[in-house]
Amino acid sequence: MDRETRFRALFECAYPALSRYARHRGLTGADAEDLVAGTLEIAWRRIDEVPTDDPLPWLYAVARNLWRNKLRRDRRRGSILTRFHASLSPQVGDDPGGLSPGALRAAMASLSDDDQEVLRLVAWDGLTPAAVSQVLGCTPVAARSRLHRARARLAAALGLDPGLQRPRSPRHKQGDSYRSTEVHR
Amino acid sequence: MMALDDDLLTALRAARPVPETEPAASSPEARMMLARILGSGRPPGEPGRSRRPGPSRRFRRLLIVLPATAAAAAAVVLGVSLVGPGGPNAPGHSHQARPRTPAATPALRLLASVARAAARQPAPRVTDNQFVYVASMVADGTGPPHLRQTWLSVSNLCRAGLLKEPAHGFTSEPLPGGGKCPDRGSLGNPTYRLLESLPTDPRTLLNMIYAHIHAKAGGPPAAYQAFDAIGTLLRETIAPPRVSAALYRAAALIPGVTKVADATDAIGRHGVAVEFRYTTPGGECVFKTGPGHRLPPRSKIAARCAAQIAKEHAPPVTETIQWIFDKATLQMIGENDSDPGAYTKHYETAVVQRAVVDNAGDVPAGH
Repeated sequence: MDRETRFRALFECAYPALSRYARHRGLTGADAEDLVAGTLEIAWRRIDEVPTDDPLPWLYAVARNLWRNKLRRDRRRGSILTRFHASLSPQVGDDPGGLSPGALRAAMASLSDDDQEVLRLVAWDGLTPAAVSQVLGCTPVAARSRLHRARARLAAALGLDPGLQRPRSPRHKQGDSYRSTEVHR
Repeated sequence: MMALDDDLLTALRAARPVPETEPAASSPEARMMLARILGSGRPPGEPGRSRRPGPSRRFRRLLIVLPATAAAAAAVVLGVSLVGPGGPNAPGHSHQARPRTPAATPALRLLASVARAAARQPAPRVTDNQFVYVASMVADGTGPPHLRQTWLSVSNLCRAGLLKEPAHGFTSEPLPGGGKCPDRGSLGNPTYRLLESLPTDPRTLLNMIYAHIHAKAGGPPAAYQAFDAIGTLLRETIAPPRVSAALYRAAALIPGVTKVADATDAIGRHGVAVEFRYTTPGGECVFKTGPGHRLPPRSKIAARCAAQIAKEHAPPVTETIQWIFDKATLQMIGENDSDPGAYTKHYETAVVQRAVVDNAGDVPAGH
């Protein structure tokens, strides 16, 4: 199969996936199209490097870097982040205490960017931890660990018990576990 | 695809933003995109074709007129300053700059000199209807360094500015303003008039910046974000000399800033730099207690944690922000921003020109 034929086949599956990836990160219209086109242009230039069996993690890694670069460039203008966070704000009528979409998105927005990204990759983009590890450039074990920690922090932001997903008791104390301070190597 | 194995992730999946129309590769927009990409050039290795489009005409011209040509990029030797747990750089630390007398480290001496040099600059004469023009060369891993030009209203963001960055498809993109007019901007997107209104006492200024940033749990430490926020006020802006000086003096109050004796900007110009490094945690460890689980003795917790993290987690990632100054004039010439990732390692800029011009799109004579 020559390169162009291969790229055309890649495009068929990658275009909808990358469009959804962009939407999941709050991009719409021309911004979303730029991200999709930018990612696919790089894939075209590097078509020999794109894995043939499962190209999506490779493409998401490229898209993630382009997206972060765009955020960095647009930080000066403040437009994308403002729009993105606005799109994640709770909607009128949402139950802030439950697992309504608005409450979940608001809880997501309160997490660090890294936590948000690993949760988006799994819950919104449908990647396995192994594929997430390819996108983030870490080991599958680390990806699972990051997902576990991000999920726990999401639960905490929603006022849920991280393990049982029940509303946390007002008397909840650190009886279940002892969490040490973070250790840096 | 993985089966989401718990209710929380399943609920989160249901909360994902859904496109208004399901994207299809057969849509007219998609077919146009495909044709555009295939027409843009050939992939590497294709015989008889260039690897990628060469630098634009403007880029070639700039290479000639730039005062400093790209020299061989020397390896930048970075002084490591690991940000440890707790302490002034940890998330959640008080965001107020406490009165203290910083030790005169090389970085603080450099920032003091930079502030003095900034204060000596002549104050620009500006009128409300003018624009701040900044041209820079940007290396962001997507190709060779490319030109980026911005024009921003001196006084009111509601007056459309302009962005030209053809390498990213912005040939003449209006820079939109905020909601309420007139809009002097904010600490995250300042106009000259906003910068002019900032306090010139460094500690007051830094406290204002700490109040502006929103440090998130698990995110970069407040000190890193404050350093980054000051960079935003210096990036693609012109500030009155006394405010520029105050910004550098405020940066000197942030613990953890170090000096880099020799740094290189996006087009290879050498300078002296200050930098802030932030190392993401390698992870956190959890010890279960209760029936069947015994908490390790306090004296062994750190070692056990380190072992657990070494076994289970990826190594920490270091992000770095550098401000590079010309060694002779001490003017800021560029900024390097590491962005660890699979394909893009750095975002580097080299400031080519700053000027106040009458109209968005005007380029000062000689450029």
